[in-house]
Amino acid sequence: MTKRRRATGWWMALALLAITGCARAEDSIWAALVLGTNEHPPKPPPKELAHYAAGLQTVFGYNTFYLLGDRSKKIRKGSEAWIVPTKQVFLKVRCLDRSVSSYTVHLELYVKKQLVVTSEVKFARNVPLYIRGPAWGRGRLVFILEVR
Amino acid sequence: MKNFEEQYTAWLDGVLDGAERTDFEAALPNREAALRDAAEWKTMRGLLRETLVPTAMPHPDFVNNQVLEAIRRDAPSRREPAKIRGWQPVGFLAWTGAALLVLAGALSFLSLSPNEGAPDPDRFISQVIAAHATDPKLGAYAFAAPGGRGAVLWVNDAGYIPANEKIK
Repeated sequence: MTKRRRATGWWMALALLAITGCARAEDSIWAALVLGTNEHPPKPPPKELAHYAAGLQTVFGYNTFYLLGDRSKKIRKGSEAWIVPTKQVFLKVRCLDRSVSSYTVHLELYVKKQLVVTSEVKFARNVPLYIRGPAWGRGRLVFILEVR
Repeated sequence: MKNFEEQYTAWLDGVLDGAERTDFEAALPNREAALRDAAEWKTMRGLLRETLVPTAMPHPDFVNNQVLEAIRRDAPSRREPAKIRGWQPVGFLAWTGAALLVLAGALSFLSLSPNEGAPDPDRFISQVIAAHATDPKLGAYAFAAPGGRGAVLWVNDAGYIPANEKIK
């Protein structure tokens, strides 16, 4: 009886591990809409952008960044989503394919309901894509997209 | 130390020794009535011994054998629990676990296998494969972010939103 219980425990543990492995296979795409400006003195970035601040500053030349909104969506092959929908700027994301290490995604950037640019991007996990968006006031809008 | 009932019973049966008997009889509240009870009890005991003789069984060995056989027949079923064949709860759980494991493995294989082959050399790099601006006046360019860990999609002249227009 004890042996049988032990065997059952092993089976259940293995099954749980396998199921957990399957669940891990589904990732999310995180998108953030950021405003970059030059201010004197510069302000520190919010904690959500702390990891990206140096890269943003180098690429876009601004010293202060504000997080206007961020969102996470589950991503899987064939999924489609509007990410960070705002009154002025929209981003449509469709997952074309996935492999063990990356996702291939089709992007559409809309500004004032006009399609501005389409793109196909291959995302590795935890490696961001920065999109230079339209100017707003004295700064510029920047999208950050990352698969997590 | 015997209580009164035990001493009284022993006195009736005549098993009290001399000193004990004398003390007990002296302590009796009504000695005459007690002696009368003792005499009646002796008479009744004698009558019972004479009349209540155990009835002799005609075939005692045969009856004993039958009783012993019946006891032997019943004994194993009491000692060993009945075996239940088929799906027992623990076995069922084990098989369910195994089935779930196989199912999970199959799902993992189906969801991960299509592009699994040689290791992807670009698995740590995000990159823009293609970019196309809808308006020929606009330009869309792609390059790697400084440090290599990141990609940039640079859209030239993607528009201007006045500061007094709300973004959200």
